[in-house]
Amino acid sequence: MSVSKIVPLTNVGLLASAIERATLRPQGLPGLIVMYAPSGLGKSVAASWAANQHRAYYVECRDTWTKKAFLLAILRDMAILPGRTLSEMVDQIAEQLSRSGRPLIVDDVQYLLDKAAANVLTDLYNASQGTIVLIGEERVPASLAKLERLHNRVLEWVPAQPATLEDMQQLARVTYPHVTMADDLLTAMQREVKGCLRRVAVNLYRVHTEAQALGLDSIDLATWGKRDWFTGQAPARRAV
Amino acid sequence: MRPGKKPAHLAMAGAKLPRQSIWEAIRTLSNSDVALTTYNVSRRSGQDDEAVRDYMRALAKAGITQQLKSMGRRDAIWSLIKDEGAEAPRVNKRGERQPYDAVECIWRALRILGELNAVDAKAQAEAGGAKITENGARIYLQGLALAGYVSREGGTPGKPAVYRLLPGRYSGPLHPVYQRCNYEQVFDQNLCEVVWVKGQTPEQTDLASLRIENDRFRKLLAELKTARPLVLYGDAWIEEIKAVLGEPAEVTQ
Repeated sequence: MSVSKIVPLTNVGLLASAIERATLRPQGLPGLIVMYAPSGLGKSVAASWAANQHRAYYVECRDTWTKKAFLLAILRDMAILPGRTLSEMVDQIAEQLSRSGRPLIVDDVQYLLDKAAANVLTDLYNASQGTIVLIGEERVPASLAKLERLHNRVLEWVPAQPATLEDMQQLARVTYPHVTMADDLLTAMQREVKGCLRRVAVNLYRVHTEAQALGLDSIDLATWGKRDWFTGQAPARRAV
Repeated sequence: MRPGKKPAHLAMAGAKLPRQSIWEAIRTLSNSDVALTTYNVSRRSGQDDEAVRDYMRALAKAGITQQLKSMGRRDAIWSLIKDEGAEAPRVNKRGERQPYDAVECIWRALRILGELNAVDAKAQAEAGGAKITENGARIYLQGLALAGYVSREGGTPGKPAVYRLLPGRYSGPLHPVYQRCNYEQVFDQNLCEVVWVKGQTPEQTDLASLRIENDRFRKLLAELKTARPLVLYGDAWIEEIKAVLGEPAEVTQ
């Protein structure tokens, strides 16, 4: 069960408006945006929305990537025939970024930052002065702090927010329009899942099936009772 | 870009629409000593003079090119004012920017999210400012499923179909085109070939996906060949791969 809904979720709005501001920034300001949060908070949905809104180029980093693999992946997403050397490739990417004005989204950037490939990011930014969006897990700001040259080119830090009650209400309304879920039920769920949107989706599905089984079209905390929530924890062993 | 630096060579991969060829010719000529004229662009891109002239006029209205001198009815000297990179600008004859295809947004979202249903696909396209109905999105996703790009789950009453992009079937950033004018077929712009035709052979779906893999292996093989020095057993290995792949004619049948 994944959350691919783009009902106006908080994180989607946060990233979209940050990119908006970066593309309209005055000359001379840096153009790096960093979004970071633990897994499951809806970073990818935000990235997808932003990528479509701004026609951004998008690469998802892998742990095994070298400098060359990183550059080739970007050129592939630009559908540009890659040059022969690394320096030619950096020139090609930088030229395309600055000429087209389209942002570049680098997802799962934590894999890249601890390696030599991180310096390529600085090169790309310097040569293009374009808008580059880095998306990664929570340790990204700490890793970036070690890369002085990249760190001071950040225009905006966007920590992704845990799911709010409004997010959950929206998601419930759009995904299961025929079942009304009471706010006290959603609040209880929010406490258990600790803001992880992916688990919210799983739990909403559970509530939905339970409501269907009971033949209800609205459900609240009293009806839900002591049923378990999906929190990502494996069930504890029961002593006989 | 640093001023005074020679621009990097940017050529798009995959299938090229006529305007893409024209645009690449314009960029090449404006960076060279050869004059940027309608005639030269037309010869270089292999497109009609009229097509080049129309596109040039549209670009001029959009403020991207400028006519410097008219030379008779057909020919003119132009200059490129605003270089927008490798991709041909989408403008109509009044010089207005045209929106991008909804299916491009759907293809991009599929790649980033991995799976989509028709409702989400519609929402993703709307995020990109393109218009498509939920049914239109479903038809496109179904076309991708037929051509073997995505797998389909659900699709029973009460459980909307979810389309999942198969790993390794992502052929590139240009979206596959589901053509349904005379006969149904799916054209892959990245590979520049028709990957699926309705009712051609029973196992066409498998073939289409195999073709994408085949293309990938061919590229790997070409890379291996150029990666000298190779030890002798490496050559033997290439022969083996060649034997397995067979002649191109056999595979693309």
